[in-house]
Amino acid sequence: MVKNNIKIKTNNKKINKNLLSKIFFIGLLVSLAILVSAILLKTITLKLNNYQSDNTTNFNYSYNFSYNVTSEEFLKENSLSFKQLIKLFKKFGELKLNNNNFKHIYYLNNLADFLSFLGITILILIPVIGVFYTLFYYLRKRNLKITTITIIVILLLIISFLVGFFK
Amino acid sequence: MLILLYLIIIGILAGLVGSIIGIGGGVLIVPALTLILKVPIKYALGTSIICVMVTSLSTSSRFLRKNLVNIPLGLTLEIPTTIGGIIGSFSVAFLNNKILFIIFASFTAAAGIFVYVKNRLSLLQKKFPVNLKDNNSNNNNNNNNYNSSSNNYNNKNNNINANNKTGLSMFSSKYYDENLRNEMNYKVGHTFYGGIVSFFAGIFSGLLGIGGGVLKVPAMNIIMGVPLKVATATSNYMIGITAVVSSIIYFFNGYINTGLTIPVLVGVVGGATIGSYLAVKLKNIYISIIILLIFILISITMFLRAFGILSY
Repeated sequence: MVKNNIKIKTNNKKINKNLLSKIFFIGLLVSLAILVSAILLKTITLKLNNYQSDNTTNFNYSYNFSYNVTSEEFLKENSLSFKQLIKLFKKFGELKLNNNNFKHIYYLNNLADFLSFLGITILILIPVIGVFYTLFYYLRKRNLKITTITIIVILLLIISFLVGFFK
Repeated sequence: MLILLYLIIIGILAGLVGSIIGIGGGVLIVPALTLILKVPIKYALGTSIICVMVTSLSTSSRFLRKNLVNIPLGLTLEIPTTIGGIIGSFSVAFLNNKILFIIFASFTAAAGIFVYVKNRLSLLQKKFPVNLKDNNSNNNNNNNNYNSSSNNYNNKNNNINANNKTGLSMFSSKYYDENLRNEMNYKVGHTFYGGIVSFFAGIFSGLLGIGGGVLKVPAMNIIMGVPLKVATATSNYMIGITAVVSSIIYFFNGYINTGLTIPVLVGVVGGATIGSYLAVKLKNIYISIIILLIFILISITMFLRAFGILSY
């Protein structure tokens, strides 16, 4: 009776947590580096615009450090969303037609937007990769209970994506 | 450019205080953005959830290296948490700012009390470590040793193995306690009740852009019998996954603004790094009292803002 109480079978001791830890750490570093690059690029874009234009240009920035953070409308226009992502790809397409002096600023601005998306996407993907790593580990070990639990978590992640997409 | 500086400072302070008191920092980012910079609450929540995810990943990485995370338990509790997270983050679009302020204010007050109690408990554990020591954790002991110590077993280990009879071996694990310099075994029980609390933690996480560790850690520790260190580590691992769900829905709703998020994020990472070094030196009962007062002050300010008494 006592022996049963004491001898504890453990399931998670064999999983390579160091590898999972490295995935989290490296992923975090990469995404942070991309996000910091994006914000630096935005700063450069703003500086270049201020230098080259005398406020007569009709070039429309999607980001400005001096923006009014209290304005819900402004934030809505400049937030990450699926619609903005499509708009971003269209902007890259328009680049071929744009031959004015602001071409490089336009390019840098779009690149900064793209990097922001990339950084946030990588950030969101890191825990998902962690879940998939756990799934493959327990699948290989043929631990059906934990495999099923992991599959349910993955399904719920997919559902959350669909809920957000079709909302 | 000044706004950029303010955002980074807010991030640093949130990361610093968050890591000192052992929370993600989401509870601090939202009031700071809404009350100081007057950012609309839904965008502040979007910023917060991304910062919470980063804090979670950073701390999880450390806890995974120390083998403190119970992955099977975390994934199991993640099922109700994720369902709650979907409901919570989906509801944000339909709730007006006043209700969000009221919910957040209530939650901040509760979080303050939790942090105070948690710090008091950890102080008590340091004072009386014998109550938590698991003498049966040494796997090298033979069966005779187990039998001879059996009489003392139930008396000495009530705290950790309170749920031995109902404990599920599937979630049972062990960890190395650096303070006690001993390998500790533990069993987990009452998963159903833990799941219910996790569901509500998920709702709050999605709704308020926070991690939800304030609910999950006591649930795992008190209800399920998981040691505090493992509960904190597992909760951190779970927060990362829950934050994914919430941030996907916030992303599609357009509540994640990179102009707000990235500077705060950079600040949070820097602040958390400094805070982790300061935490060892500063952690005492006076700090927890000050934190409790700060949380109550934030809570009152947000209540006043919600009812229009305090307007900008």
